[in-house]
Amino acid sequence: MSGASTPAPAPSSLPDRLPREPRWKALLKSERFVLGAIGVVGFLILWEALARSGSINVQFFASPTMIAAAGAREVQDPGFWSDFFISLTEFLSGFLVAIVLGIPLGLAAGWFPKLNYALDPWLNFFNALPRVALLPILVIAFGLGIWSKIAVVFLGAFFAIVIPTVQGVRTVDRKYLDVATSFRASRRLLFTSVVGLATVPFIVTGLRLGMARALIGVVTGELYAATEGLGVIIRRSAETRQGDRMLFGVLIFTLSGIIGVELVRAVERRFQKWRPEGFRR
Amino acid sequence: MSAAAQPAVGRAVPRRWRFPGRPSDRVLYGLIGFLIVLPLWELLPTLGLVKRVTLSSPSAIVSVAIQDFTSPAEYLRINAPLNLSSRVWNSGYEYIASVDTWPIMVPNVLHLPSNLWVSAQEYMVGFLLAAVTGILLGLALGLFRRFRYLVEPWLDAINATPTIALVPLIILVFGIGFTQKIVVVWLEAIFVITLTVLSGVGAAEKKHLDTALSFKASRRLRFTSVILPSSVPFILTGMRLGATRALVGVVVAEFLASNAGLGFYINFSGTTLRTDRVMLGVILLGMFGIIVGELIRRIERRFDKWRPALR
Amino acid sequence: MIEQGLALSARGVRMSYIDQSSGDRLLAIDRIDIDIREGEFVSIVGPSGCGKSTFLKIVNGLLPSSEGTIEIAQPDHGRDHAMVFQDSSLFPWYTVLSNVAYGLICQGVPKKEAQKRAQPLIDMVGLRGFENKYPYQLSGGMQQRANLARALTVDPEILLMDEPFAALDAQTRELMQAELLRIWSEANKTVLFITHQIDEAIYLSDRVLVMSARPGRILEDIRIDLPRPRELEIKRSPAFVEMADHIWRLISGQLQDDKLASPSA
Repeated sequence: MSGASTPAPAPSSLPDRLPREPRWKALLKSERFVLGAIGVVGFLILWEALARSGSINVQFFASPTMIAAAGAREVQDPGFWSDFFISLTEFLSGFLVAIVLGIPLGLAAGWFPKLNYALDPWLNFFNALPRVALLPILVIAFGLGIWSKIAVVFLGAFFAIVIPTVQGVRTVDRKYLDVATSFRASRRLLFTSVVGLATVPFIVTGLRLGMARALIGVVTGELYAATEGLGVIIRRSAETRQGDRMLFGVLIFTLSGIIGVELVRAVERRFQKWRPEGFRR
Repeated sequence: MSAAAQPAVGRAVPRRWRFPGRPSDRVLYGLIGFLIVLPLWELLPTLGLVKRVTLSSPSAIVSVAIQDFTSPAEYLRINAPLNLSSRVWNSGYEYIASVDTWPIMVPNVLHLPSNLWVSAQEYMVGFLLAAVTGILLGLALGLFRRFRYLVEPWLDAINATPTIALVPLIILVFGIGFTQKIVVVWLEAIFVITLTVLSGVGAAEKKHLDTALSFKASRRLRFTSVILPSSVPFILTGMRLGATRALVGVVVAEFLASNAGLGFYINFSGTTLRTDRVMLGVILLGMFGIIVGELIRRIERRFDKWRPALR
Repeated sequence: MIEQGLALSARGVRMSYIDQSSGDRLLAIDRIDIDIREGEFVSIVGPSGCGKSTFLKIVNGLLPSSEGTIEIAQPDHGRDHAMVFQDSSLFPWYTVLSNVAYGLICQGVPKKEAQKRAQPLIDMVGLRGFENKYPYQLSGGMQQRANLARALTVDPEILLMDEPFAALDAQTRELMQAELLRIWSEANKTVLFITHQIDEAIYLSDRVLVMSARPGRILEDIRIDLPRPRELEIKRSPAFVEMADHIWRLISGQLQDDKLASPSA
């Protein structure tokens, strides 16, 4: 028999404590951050170079500097801001109404089985249906203005919020209910102390999905039929081959999406303090 | 009333906590829901409480469904004054009779089977393309850490963007046609698939990876024996989510630029104020979504053989 | 070069790591020296969090040590070591047969042959007839039998067992202990067994190493002279109880020094 050994590391010369680095230094050492930065900057440079050399058509794929210039022009234009606020109004009103109506309905449909059974087929249908398909009816009913867009935003977000909420109430762990009932908690207390709180993560999931759906609603509604809004900017710029202005419009939607995700995440952190790290969604 | 199927937990637990409940209840109250909605829906426009143009009635939808499914795919038209052809779309057969010279065949744009087939093709090709590329990209991102770090910011940005906003650009680049639809459907579906698969690779359990390492499994074997099987549930979930998004893609792509397909049918009927047809198209679309979701769920269950029933 | 007749020899093994939040270097294991003879059954007991599982992972090569050497005898055939993990680490997507054959597949043995060679071990652990079941269809005890068979298929010089019975209920655990002794005597392997159950360690082992609370050190190396084969009744013999009591005092003394620091008891 021969022996095999793990290589002997250097003798004990390990410091007992490493000096803590400033945050920015640690960031520069993080592979993730460095590679991410290289990815962003590298792709932007490549894009710019391709656009300048004429390899890609800037009427479609305007270069990053062109988009930035278009952005600088747009933000000084009051017309842009009026379109922006139209889109913002559509988004906020539709989404807020969806929250205000969706959460109570979801809680009720989860709590009362009969209501749940009665609503289930309809919820399933509207969940499987792309709600933007309802735009033609909504335009007929509410016209080309802001109301048809608010309606499609509402429909997009509403079902995305209701369905996880129902799911949340229905999957509350039985043992917590047993604890509450064994302490003779009233039905009202049962709801506020157990069901409501246990459902919060599901509601937050609904908010996140609903937010994305609401944004899709704004874009699609305005691309489909509208006279004002950011979607109209995108559509008109495409028709007139202003790639820079079009992509600036897309960029605004990207930024809105990122801000929205971060906001929902902040809500999530606020409500999930009691969850162990690994179980946070 | 029997609650025998329930575990014998404290009797004080309110009876309404008997989910998922007896199937008979489910069917009964489901039916009650339909019995409330359908007559109301039929009566509202009939009594003139809602304008027929904003809310068609179930009976009108059924009759238009029969008409558009059974009408011929093409009409033989004897005279074809071009300025009239658009009106043929509107109201079916009546112009056929107005006799004149050249006999020609005109497609019936309201023929539902052919519209459904067009959309189904766009859907299947776009979605399958998205599934293949999305799964491969997700696995690659999960396996190669540096690659993931490199593209992560872009991935996050695109994921936060409502990609519908790029449809005008896609129309500019690809023109109007099959390719444009495929690209839209693909773009709508791919990222949710990629990101779900990526989280699946991350969800491979440490104890299983440790087992493989402890037996000195090769990199390739670690992938096929641990990472891939652990990701299967995520791959299927991603495909289910992607299937929903792909349907959004089909509808929007056809809404914004098309001359055939279910989205075209809905949009065309909308611009001609035929709400019955719009609603029929919407119902067919929803049914299509339900069927596809159910199919993928079946496949999911098949792959679940090695898992205890969690849900 | 490892000394003749020894299966494993560890010298001055230390393990430290840097705590992410404070930046402090923490010591998990402090200078462990262990010699295990061929065919010996050795257990390590210690309070939870003392680093006994960490030590086993170092032996297994899953973790690097910061200092020290570990030598394992290289057998003429088979592998040098194989691990039986804590709770079921069987792959839920494989059948029992595929799971047991996995170690051989990892060595590049073709699937057919691997499954043929896995069969006698499935028989040995008493799982004949369950080859095509999936892990979730087995009880906890049966899962750990399969887990054991999987480690045995690669014919390891040393079997490393990381609290393999911790997740089982008390009755099943005793049954599995007796089974393990039977399989051990049949398979003729060296075993390094980690547990926090004192009676389990004494009942199974030739030697019990008692480990201190973190940073883990070997407090005492206790030879168990109980005759073999051992019946479960031996756990109630005075000699057994006395040893258990001794180990318990060692460990609880550790706990009091570290955490309780109260003069009671």
